[in-house]
Amino acid sequence: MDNMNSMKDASQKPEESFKPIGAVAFLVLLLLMEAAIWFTVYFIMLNRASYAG
Amino acid sequence: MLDKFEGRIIFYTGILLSIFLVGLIYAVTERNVNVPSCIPYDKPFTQGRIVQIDSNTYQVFYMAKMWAFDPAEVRLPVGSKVDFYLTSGDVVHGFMINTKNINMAAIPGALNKTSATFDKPDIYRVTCNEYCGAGHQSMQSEIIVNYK
Repeated sequence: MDNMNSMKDASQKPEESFKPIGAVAFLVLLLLMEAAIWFTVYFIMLNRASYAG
Repeated sequence: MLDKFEGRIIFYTGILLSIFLVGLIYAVTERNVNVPSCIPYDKPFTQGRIVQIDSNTYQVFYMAKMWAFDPAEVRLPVGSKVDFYLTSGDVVHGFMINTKNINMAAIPGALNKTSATFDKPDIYRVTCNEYCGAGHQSMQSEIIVNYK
Protein backbone atom coordinates (compact mmCIF):
# COMPACT_ATOMS: atom_id res chain seq x y z
CA MET A 1 0.00 0.00 0.00
CA ASP A 2 2.79 2.39 0.95
CA ASN A 3 4.47 1.51 -2.26
CA MET A 4 1.33 2.46 -4.22
CA ASN A 5 1.03 5.83 -2.45
CA SER A 6 4.61 6.73 -3.06
CA MET A 7 4.13 5.94 -6.78
CA LYS A 8 1.06 8.25 -6.91
CA ASP A 9 3.00 11.08 -5.27
CA ALA A 10 5.84 10.67 -7.68
CA SER A 11 3.51 10.95 -10.69
CA GLN A 12 1.70 14.05 -9.33
CA LYS A 13 4.65 16.08 -8.14
CA PRO A 14 6.15 17.06 -11.50
CA GLU A 15 2.77 18.39 -12.75
CA GLU A 16 2.22 20.53 -9.67
CA SER A 17 5.61 22.19 -9.89
CA PHE A 18 5.61 22.60 -13.68
CA LYS A 19 6.07 26.18 -14.91
CA PRO A 20 5.79 26.82 -18.66
CA ILE A 21 8.77 29.18 -18.66
CA GLY A 22 9.55 28.59 -22.34
CA ALA A 23 5.99 29.25 -23.50
CA VAL A 24 5.70 32.38 -21.32
CA ALA A 25 9.05 33.72 -22.56
CA PHE A 26 8.02 33.06 -26.17
CA LEU A 27 4.67 34.84 -25.71
CA VAL A 28 6.37 37.81 -24.03
CA LEU A 29 8.77 38.04 -26.98
CA LEU A 30 5.81 37.91 -29.39
CA LEU A 31 4.06 40.72 -27.49
CA LEU A 32 7.22 42.85 -27.50
CA MET A 33 7.73 42.28 -31.23
CA GLU A 34 4.07 43.11 -31.92
CA ALA A 35 4.38 46.34 -29.90
CA ALA A 36 7.63 47.31 -31.69
CA ILE A 37 6.11 46.82 -35.17
CA TRP A 38 2.86 48.55 -34.18
CA PHE A 39 4.58 51.62 -32.69
CA THR A 40 6.95 51.93 -35.69
CA VAL A 41 3.97 52.27 -38.03
CA TYR A 42 2.08 54.40 -35.48
CA PHE A 43 4.86 57.01 -35.20
CA ILE A 44 5.21 57.19 -39.01
CA MET A 45 1.48 57.93 -39.11
CA LEU A 46 1.75 60.62 -36.40
CA ASN A 47 4.75 62.20 -38.12
CA ARG A 48 2.84 62.46 -41.40
CA ALA A 49 -0.22 63.80 -39.61
CA SER A 50 1.79 66.62 -38.08
CA TYR A 51 1.66 68.42 -41.41
CA ALA A 52 -1.62 66.99 -42.72
CA GLY A 53 -4.82 68.78 -41.95
CA MET B 1 -10.57 27.05 -13.64
CA LEU B 2 -8.22 29.30 -15.56
CA ASP B 3 -4.58 28.35 -15.40
CA LYS B 4 -2.41 30.86 -13.53
CA PHE B 5 -0.01 31.42 -16.43
CA GLU B 6 -2.81 31.57 -19.00
CA GLY B 7 -4.49 34.26 -16.90
CA ARG B 8 -1.30 36.31 -16.75
CA ILE B 9 -0.80 36.17 -20.53
CA ILE B 10 -4.43 37.23 -21.13
CA PHE B 11 -3.93 40.10 -18.65
CA TYR B 12 -0.72 41.40 -20.31
CA THR B 13 -2.23 41.03 -23.80
CA GLY B 14 -5.25 43.01 -22.60
CA ILE B 15 -2.99 45.80 -21.30
CA LEU B 16 -1.12 45.95 -24.64
CA LEU B 17 -4.37 46.10 -26.64
CA SER B 18 -5.63 48.88 -24.33
CA ILE B 19 -2.43 50.87 -24.98
CA PHE B 20 -2.97 50.43 -28.76
CA LEU B 21 -6.59 51.59 -28.45
CA VAL B 22 -5.65 54.68 -26.41
CA GLY B 23 -2.93 55.44 -29.02
CA LEU B 24 -5.49 55.33 -31.84
CA ILE B 25 -7.97 57.53 -29.97
CA TYR B 26 -5.17 60.04 -29.26
CA ALA B 27 -4.11 60.06 -32.95
CA VAL B 28 -7.64 60.75 -34.19
CA THR B 29 -8.69 63.28 -31.54
CA GLU B 30 -5.48 65.18 -30.70
CA ARG B 31 -3.35 64.81 -33.84
CA ASN B 32 -6.07 65.06 -36.49
CA VAL B 33 -5.22 61.83 -38.26
CA ASN B 34 -7.77 61.53 -41.03
CA VAL B 35 -9.84 58.45 -41.63
CA PRO B 36 -11.34 58.06 -45.14
CA SER B 37 -15.13 58.24 -45.25
CA CYS B 38 -17.66 56.82 -47.67
CA ILE B 39 -20.28 59.12 -49.18
CA PRO B 40 -23.15 56.68 -49.66
CA TYR B 41 -25.90 58.71 -51.34
CA ASP B 42 -23.99 60.74 -53.94
CA LYS B 43 -24.00 59.63 -57.55
CA PRO B 44 -20.38 58.90 -58.57
CA PHE B 45 -18.90 61.27 -61.18
CA THR B 46 -17.64 60.00 -64.53
CA GLN B 47 -14.65 62.32 -65.12
CA GLY B 48 -11.87 63.61 -62.93
CA ARG B 49 -11.63 67.33 -62.22
CA ILE B 50 -10.07 69.95 -59.95
CA VAL B 51 -12.22 72.58 -58.30
CA GLN B 52 -10.73 75.60 -56.53
CA ILE B 53 -12.91 76.69 -53.62
CA ASP B 54 -10.79 79.65 -52.45
CA SER B 55 -7.12 80.73 -52.54
CA ASN B 56 -5.80 77.59 -50.81
CA THR B 57 -8.74 75.19 -50.67
CA TYR B 58 -9.33 72.65 -53.42
CA GLN B 59 -11.49 69.69 -54.26
CA VAL B 60 -9.92 67.04 -56.45
CA PHE B 61 -12.23 64.43 -58.01
CA TYR B 62 -10.21 61.37 -59.03
CA MET B 63 -11.53 58.81 -61.48
CA ALA B 64 -9.51 55.58 -61.40
CA LYS B 65 -9.76 53.51 -64.54
CA MET B 66 -7.59 50.76 -66.05
CA TRP B 67 -4.72 51.80 -65.80
CA ALA B 68 -4.53 55.50 -65.04
CA PHE B 69 -5.90 58.17 -62.73
CA ASP B 70 -7.86 61.11 -64.11
CA PRO B 71 -6.54 63.81 -63.57
CA ALA B 72 -3.05 62.43 -64.29
CA GLU B 73 -1.35 65.48 -62.81
CA VAL B 74 -2.49 67.98 -60.19
CA ARG B 75 -0.61 71.22 -59.49
CA LEU B 76 -1.18 72.92 -56.17
CA PRO B 77 0.41 75.81 -54.28
CA VAL B 78 2.14 75.14 -50.96
CA GLY B 79 -0.30 75.22 -48.05
CA SER B 80 -3.22 73.85 -50.06
CA LYS B 81 -5.99 72.14 -48.19
CA VAL B 82 -7.45 69.46 -50.41
CA ASP B 83 -10.53 67.26 -50.24
CA PHE B 84 -10.03 64.15 -52.34
CA TYR B 85 -13.05 62.39 -53.83
CA LEU B 86 -12.44 59.03 -55.43
CA THR B 87 -14.36 56.54 -57.53
CA SER B 88 -13.61 53.88 -60.12
CA GLY B 89 -14.90 53.38 -63.65
CA ASP B 90 -14.28 49.65 -63.87
CA VAL B 91 -12.72 47.45 -61.16
CA VAL B 92 -11.47 48.08 -57.62
CA HIS B 93 -8.28 50.16 -57.56
CA GLY B 94 -6.07 51.44 -54.77
CA PHE B 95 -5.22 55.09 -54.17
CA MET B 96 -2.17 55.84 -52.06
CA ILE B 97 -0.33 59.14 -51.81
CA ASN B 98 3.31 58.62 -50.98
CA THR B 99 4.48 60.16 -47.64
CA LYS B 100 0.91 61.17 -46.72
CA ASN B 101 -1.60 59.36 -44.53
CA ILE B 102 -3.84 58.68 -47.51
CA ASN B 103 -4.76 55.18 -48.58
CA MET B 104 -8.21 54.62 -50.07
CA ALA B 105 -10.01 52.12 -52.26
CA ALA B 106 -11.57 53.23 -55.55
CA ILE B 107 -14.75 51.21 -55.86
CA PRO B 108 -17.04 51.29 -58.91
CA GLY B 109 -20.39 52.86 -57.99
CA ALA B 110 -19.12 54.21 -54.65
CA LEU B 111 -17.58 57.51 -53.61
CA ASN B 112 -14.82 57.80 -51.01
CA LYS B 113 -13.47 60.98 -49.48
CA THR B 114 -10.49 62.10 -47.43
CA SER B 115 -8.58 65.34 -46.80
CA ALA B 116 -4.98 66.49 -46.60
CA THR B 117 -2.91 69.66 -46.28
CA PHE B 118 0.19 70.03 -48.46
CA ASP B 119 2.60 72.19 -46.44
CA LYS B 120 5.83 71.00 -48.08
CA PRO B 121 6.77 71.56 -51.72
CA ASP B 122 7.31 68.17 -53.33
CA ILE B 123 6.17 65.80 -56.05
CA TYR B 124 3.73 63.45 -54.33
CA ARG B 125 3.33 60.22 -56.22
CA VAL B 126 -0.12 58.64 -56.33
CA THR B 127 -0.06 54.90 -56.90
CA CYS B 128 -2.58 52.11 -57.25
CA ASN B 129 -1.86 49.54 -54.53
CA GLU B 130 -4.64 47.09 -55.38
CA TYR B 131 -3.83 44.66 -58.18
CA CYS B 132 -6.14 45.63 -61.04
CA GLY B 133 -4.86 43.82 -64.13
CA ALA B 134 -2.02 43.68 -66.64
CA GLY B 135 -1.11 47.40 -66.46
CA HIS B 136 -1.40 47.76 -62.69
CA GLN B 137 2.30 48.54 -62.17
CA SER B 138 2.11 51.64 -64.40
CA MET B 139 -1.01 53.09 -62.79
CA GLN B 140 0.39 56.29 -61.28
CA SER B 141 -0.35 59.96 -61.03
CA GLU B 142 1.39 63.00 -59.56
CA ILE B 143 0.51 65.85 -57.26
CA ILE B 144 3.03 68.64 -57.78
CA VAL B 145 3.13 71.07 -54.86
CA ASN B 146 5.17 74.20 -55.43
CA TYR B 147 5.36 77.84 -54.44
CA LYS B 148 3.08 80.11 -56.43
